[in-house]
Amino acid sequence: MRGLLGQYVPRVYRFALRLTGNRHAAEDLTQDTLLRAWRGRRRLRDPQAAREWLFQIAANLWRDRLRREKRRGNHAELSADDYQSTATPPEQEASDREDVGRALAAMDRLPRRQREVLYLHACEELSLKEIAEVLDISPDAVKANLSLARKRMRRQLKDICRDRFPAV
Amino acid sequence: MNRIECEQLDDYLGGWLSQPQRERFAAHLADCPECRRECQQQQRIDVLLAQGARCPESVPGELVERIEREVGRFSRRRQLQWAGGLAAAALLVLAVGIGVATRPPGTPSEPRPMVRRPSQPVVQEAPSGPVPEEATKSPPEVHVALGDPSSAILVRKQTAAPNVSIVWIYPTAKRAPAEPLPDDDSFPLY
Repeated sequence: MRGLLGQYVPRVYRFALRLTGNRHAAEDLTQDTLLRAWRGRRRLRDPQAAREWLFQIAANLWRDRLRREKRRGNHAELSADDYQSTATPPEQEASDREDVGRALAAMDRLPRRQREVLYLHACEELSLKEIAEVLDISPDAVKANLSLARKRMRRQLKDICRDRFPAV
Repeated sequence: MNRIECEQLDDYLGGWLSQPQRERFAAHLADCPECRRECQQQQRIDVLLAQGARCPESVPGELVERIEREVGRFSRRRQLQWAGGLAAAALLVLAVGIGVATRPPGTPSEPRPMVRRPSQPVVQEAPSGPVPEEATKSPPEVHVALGDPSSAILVRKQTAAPNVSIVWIYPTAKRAPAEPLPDDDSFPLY
């Protein structure tokens, strides 16, 4: 079991960070997701689809929690511990490390839905159909959100690429 | 710069264009430096995000252990629930077995059938005549003894039910004063 958890916990946690924007909430959501998945593991017909299944559980749990918070008048996404990615791959050069950190930080500043869609597409390489299933939205909505997210990212990170692709 | 073509940039980047559209846009890219730069920029961002996805930095070290503990606790609780359920089922089977084994001989296995008896006799017979033995048996035959059979007319009325018949008795002479005629409603014989 430890091997399975070691394989899936980081992925679920990183997705949970994008959903919640908060480290503590992401840890709780990851734990709830894995526990829910363990209880219902017999419902997973295709082991190849375990990653999408886990993301789907996480997204559903988070959506339920947001609904509950909304009813109570709270906003679960706002917290003193708002997450901003500081991911730094050790094997890369300093400039690349900085660019990766900035790209992830820019993604984390996107509106929630755009952030979720872009993360699943760019970081988890899910197809439009898979993203639509995970987030329970239509493929057209996925496309629209992905286009908006990419436009915003390009606008936010213009200077990242200026050296490599000078304006003509 | 061709605005119509430029608007297809996101579809091109997403790989959502058809083959002819894709070829047209590729030709447009050669002529539109702005779209070309946006494409290169997007490719760079995609690479950076993919690299970021492989970074293990942000996963708290104790999170896996915490989840493992929770899963283990849940599994133990589930095992206890199963064991409890099995024990209860075994006790139930044992109790039923003991009950059957210790039943005294001759105990009826089924309850007696319930018999519903009318509070009033259905047929009021004339007191003077002897009651034939067959009349006490179950239908279909009912015998009514009259003091003077020649002084009454019996009219049998057909009913929809094959095993039910109604007989009206009309006295014609010498009505006995001690026995007033009952109401018609009380006469049907079943």
